[in-house]
Amino acid sequence: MNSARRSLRLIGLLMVFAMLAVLAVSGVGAQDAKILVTGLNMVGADPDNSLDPSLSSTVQSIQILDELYIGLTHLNEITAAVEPGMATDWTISEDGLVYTFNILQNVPWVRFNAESGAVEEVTDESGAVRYVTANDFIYGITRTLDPVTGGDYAYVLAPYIVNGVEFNAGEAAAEDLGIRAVDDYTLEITSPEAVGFAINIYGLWMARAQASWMLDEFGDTWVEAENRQTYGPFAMKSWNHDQDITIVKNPFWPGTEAVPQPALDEVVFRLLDDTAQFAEYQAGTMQAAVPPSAEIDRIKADAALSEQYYAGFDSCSLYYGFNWEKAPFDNVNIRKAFSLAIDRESVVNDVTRDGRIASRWYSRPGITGAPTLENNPDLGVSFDAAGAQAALEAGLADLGLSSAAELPTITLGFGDTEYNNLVAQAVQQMWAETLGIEVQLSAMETTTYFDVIEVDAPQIFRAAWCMDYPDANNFLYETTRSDSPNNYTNWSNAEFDALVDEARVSTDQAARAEMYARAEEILVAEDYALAPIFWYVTRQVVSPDVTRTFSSIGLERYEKWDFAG
Amino acid sequence: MAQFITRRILWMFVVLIVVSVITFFLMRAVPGGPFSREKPLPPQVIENLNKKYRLDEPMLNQYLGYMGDILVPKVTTERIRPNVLEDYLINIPLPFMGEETYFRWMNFGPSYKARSRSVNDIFEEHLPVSFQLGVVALGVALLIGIPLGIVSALKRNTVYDYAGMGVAIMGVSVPVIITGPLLQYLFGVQLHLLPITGWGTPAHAILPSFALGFTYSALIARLMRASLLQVLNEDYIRTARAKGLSERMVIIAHALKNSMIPVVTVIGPLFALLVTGTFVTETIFGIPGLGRYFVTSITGRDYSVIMGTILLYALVLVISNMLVDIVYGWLDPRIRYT
Repeated sequence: MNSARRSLRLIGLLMVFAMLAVLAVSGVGAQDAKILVTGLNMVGADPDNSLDPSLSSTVQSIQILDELYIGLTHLNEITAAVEPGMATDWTISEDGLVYTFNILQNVPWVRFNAESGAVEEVTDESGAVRYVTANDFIYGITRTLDPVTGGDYAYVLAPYIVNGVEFNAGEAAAEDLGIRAVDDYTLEITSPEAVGFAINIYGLWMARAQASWMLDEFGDTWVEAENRQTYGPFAMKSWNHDQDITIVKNPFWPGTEAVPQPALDEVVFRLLDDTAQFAEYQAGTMQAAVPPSAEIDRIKADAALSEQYYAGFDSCSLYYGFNWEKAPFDNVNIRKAFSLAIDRESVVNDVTRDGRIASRWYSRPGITGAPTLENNPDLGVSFDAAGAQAALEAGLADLGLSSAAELPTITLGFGDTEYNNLVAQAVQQMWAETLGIEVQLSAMETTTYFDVIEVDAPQIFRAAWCMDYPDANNFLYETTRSDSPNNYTNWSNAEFDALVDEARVSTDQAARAEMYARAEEILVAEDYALAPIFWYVTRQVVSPDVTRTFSSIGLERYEKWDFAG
Repeated sequence: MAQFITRRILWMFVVLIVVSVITFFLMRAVPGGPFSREKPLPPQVIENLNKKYRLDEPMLNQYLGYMGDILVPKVTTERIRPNVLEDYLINIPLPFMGEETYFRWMNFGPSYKARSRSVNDIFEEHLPVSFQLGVVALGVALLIGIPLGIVSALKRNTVYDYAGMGVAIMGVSVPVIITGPLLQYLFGVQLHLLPITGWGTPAHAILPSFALGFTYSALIARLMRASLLQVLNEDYIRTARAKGLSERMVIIAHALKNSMIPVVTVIGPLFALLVTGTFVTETIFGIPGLGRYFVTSITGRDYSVIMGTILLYALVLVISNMLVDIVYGWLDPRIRYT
């Protein structure tokens, strides 16, 4: 080997060492800054929502908002219990109407400074740090309810603030709202009626503090990362529309028992569909991802991946409703037959195969007031072929028919997505096998379908409800009470209405649980107003390097996540 | 030629106006609206929103208002606080008329879904991404397709022809939804050579532009082959051979140029299709392009985004077809425009 070649080889070796050194240094750097890369499935949802507390409506945007702004009260992700958020404590007047919140006094507004690469406190014209005050909450709440804002979720908050509904309808002035600052750090909210879960609602994303001076300065562009001011455990570092959102630890967040200072330095949310997320996860470039449902079987069979997989309760409940005004579903036995003939376990285990949980009643178990699976082993409906056939016989006898062939044509309507089709075809087959009835499927373009079921629902229609706040009232009062605009079944039952009315204002949680359990029994197993199908789950794969909490509310609390070791 | 171009540009405006009328009234005839939700909004909220976006006015007024915002220029003398209702594409300062005086033109309206963004915001941010991807993919399609077609035609009924056309048929029949994830798995997950998703560096463009370009290369290869075969039978090719030109000269100087006409014809619409965004490719590869807005705007009844994307597509299509017509004249001297 000649010397020239040898020196070339030496240079080559040196270059390799140099590259290794660079890699090692950057590797150390990456470990020093704890950056978690995860995914948000935004495809098919609204093309990146505005991430505006007054406007946002998708669970993906609320996930981000919950890290940037903390509510007066805060929802524990594991127990779904109400904890202190920006309010250290609160008192409720004896009549249950007036809530007085004491607000944390040491939380500054912050923004991410791209030039210095650091989160900095926001100052006013005189150079003094701006702290979050009761007035910022009043501004945020007023902006949400302002009819000019046109907030999707104003209607959830409006009924629990005096004159909220009227102001939102343009019939009252902002000054008439039942909300006032006793002093900078004491906020008083007056509700027109005493309801226990109002405390939950005051903590929701549409009731957060907002920075009036920032909106004045930047107009609609305040949402962008370079303009946005926040105060929660994380601040917004960057937002590349349709691509990724990066939040960065806010060192000025004081940390509370419920909302500690984050251990992670940054969380990067990549906006990808689930197939792409899972590919990135497998390549090791993302530490958490939502796997596609088609991969769940493979994940469960894989020794390593099955350990990294977690499915927790999400916020939604899917059902097939019966339109009581359309024959033959004006007959209770016919409704019963159709409900009992659905093998929900088979739907989730053999058809969707994505970890969703077969439901026996409507409201999502585990939220305040709702029945739990442990305490109510016999509540609700489940698959019962013999019972379904007996009910069909009884129903036909009621109608004076001799066979199911004499029934009018029955149609199941749903929004035309691949998933809805899959479930509908499976249930259609179950009805054919158990009842011998061939149901027509009517798949409609999704947005058209939303309008159709509101005006004139098909005999059987697919619908789902995702809770706004974790209380059974949100399901049973707001969507199935006889006068609810979300009740497409045209069903009404005085006993049910009385139960949900009473449970709504009761503060005795044990009594409420009993009332809601009874209400569910009437809804799904006496009147058979609707057939529950399954409860949704959130699916995740998370790297074993990550320590985390296991959420049951469909939202993660990244301030409690960390890298192990 | 100048006259031809002027006439085509005038026609372009007519086409765009017709497209805007049809799109506007067709989309409004479809049931549902931008505020239809699975969880329906209370009537009061919908009323508030309709008022904010002027959707409560008579349909004709809305159309005229929309077109007026785009076509009629405005001169503003006071500072406009950034807001999605008044976001103009063209803002030219007129300092001689006052400090805050601007000439403003072309406001394509707010998005009703991404409520803090205007259609102009969406175009400015996402069209360049789709454009880059589309141009590279078109380049890939031509670089693969044209040589493949030429080789197949010249070596007709040989193993080269069969292999070339086999590749072409595969390209046509295997869609991006298959090739995309396959490429991602091979080059990203297994070999760690290329980024799987995202956008920003040239490396990010390799997989998606190949996946996208490959599909269309097949179309171009087949067109190229058929066209070249036909041209090779023309009289003027026989003449060229008869006057003693080498086979190479015959192909390059006479056959190729003339056989490009069908290929150039499809490049026009293909260019319009590719540069305005491709929903499936952008979704698979996590590319923040414009393609998704063509689809989500329709499912979400995001009226102004529907109008914006359709008009943009129509504009690009009309312009690229005009360029194709001009290229015809260069390719085939028999074609002349007056």
